[in-house]
Amino acid sequence: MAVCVAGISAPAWPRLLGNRTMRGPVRGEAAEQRTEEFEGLARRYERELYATALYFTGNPADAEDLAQEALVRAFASFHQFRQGTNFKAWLWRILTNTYINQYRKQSRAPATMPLDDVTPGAELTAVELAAAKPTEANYLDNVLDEEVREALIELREEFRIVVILADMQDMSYNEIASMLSIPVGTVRSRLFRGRQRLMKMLREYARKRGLA
Amino acid sequence: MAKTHPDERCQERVSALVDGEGWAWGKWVLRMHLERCPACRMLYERMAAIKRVVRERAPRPEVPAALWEGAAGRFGQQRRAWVVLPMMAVWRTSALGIIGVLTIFAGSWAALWPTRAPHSWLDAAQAHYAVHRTSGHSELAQGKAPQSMAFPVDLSKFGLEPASAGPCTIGGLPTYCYVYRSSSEDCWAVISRVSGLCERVAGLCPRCGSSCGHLAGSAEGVRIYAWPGDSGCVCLSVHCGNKKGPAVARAVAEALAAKR
Repeated sequence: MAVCVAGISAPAWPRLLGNRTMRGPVRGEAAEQRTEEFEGLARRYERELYATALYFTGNPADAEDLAQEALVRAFASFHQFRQGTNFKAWLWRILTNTYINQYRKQSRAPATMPLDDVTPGAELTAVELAAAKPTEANYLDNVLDEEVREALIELREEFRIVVILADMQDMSYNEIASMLSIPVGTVRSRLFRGRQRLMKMLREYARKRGLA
Repeated sequence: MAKTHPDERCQERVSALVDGEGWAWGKWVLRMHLERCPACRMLYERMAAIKRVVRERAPRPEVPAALWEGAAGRFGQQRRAWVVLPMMAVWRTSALGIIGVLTIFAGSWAALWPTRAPHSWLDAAQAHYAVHRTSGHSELAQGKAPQSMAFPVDLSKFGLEPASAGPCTIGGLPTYCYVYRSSSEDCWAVISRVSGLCERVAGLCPRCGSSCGHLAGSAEGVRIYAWPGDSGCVCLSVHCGNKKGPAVARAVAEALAAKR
């Protein structure tokens, strides 16, 4: 029998609360179930998670530590995860925060130049664009996977994180902006500049191999 | 205008169009523009190409086994914390509950049995009485409830109810005290019959000697009054800011006189 509270039947409450199923600390079999549930979800994304950590940190050892730390933190706060929401975005938020707060300080210090200091000419000029042949970008079809990896790792951190989240992980600008606590316009700007630099680096690799 | 087109802002918008970002109307306008502007179209294609390359060609290495092995160990620690922390909470709650119950019990004991030892001098008197038993209290010496255990004076009209009785010492003399407790305020009255007290008190009362009830002394903040009684002298002590003291003293005197 549905219990009515202030004219709202009981089954309506979960819907009104946005299906928020906050779960507190558990013990015994419930802990087992929660562990299995978390592992089931996390293992779906383990490869992408590790890859993201690898491109964030730039080396396998730090990547393993970062991914593991993110998994442990996610597991510890799994009771705060709202079922039915985007687990991947939630997990990646933890990963990104862990990296920003913990690993970035420890690992190689990236050059953090303000965006205003970008070398003039780094952007494609209208003349360059106009002169570019439509087939010029074909060298990208022949680029080696390893070159893509190197170019991504060489990319400056502020661009690299945004490019990885947007292009590798298909996250929206809003999600990235929320994770990094920056405006959406900054995400758009960094992504554009990151892609430009990436393209130049890949073109340089291709040129060395005589492809471009 | 033509020299600067597409400017940086425009380029960023074209880049965002690759990701499907932006307002619907803005995206439609930009797409219409791309059809007419080769430079912007070229930029769009480049951005789309680089996005595709990153998405499809960036290597995703195999996850090292140590990642999950290490994580599993730390999951175990977390699970133990889930067990330990609630248990700690239970113990903490239980301990607080026990402390609370003990506090309430102790408070109740103090509230319900305050007459057991309303003043420390009564306790001392008990010990003293064990050695110096006076005549007239032979029943107590035999371990029996003496006749004098019956409260001699009805003080209910003053809001004083019999509370307890026991051996005590007044003016250095061991005796037996009757303790009344005020039902309306924190007020105590102690009366007793003390042989030889009047003589002692007379020496302490230059104004009226032993013929009237007067302050015989004080102990632990309790004022002690004495009146002539049917067996020597009646001692009355009142402790309630002395507001009820005189009234109670008169009542005792009247009651004892009537009894006499």
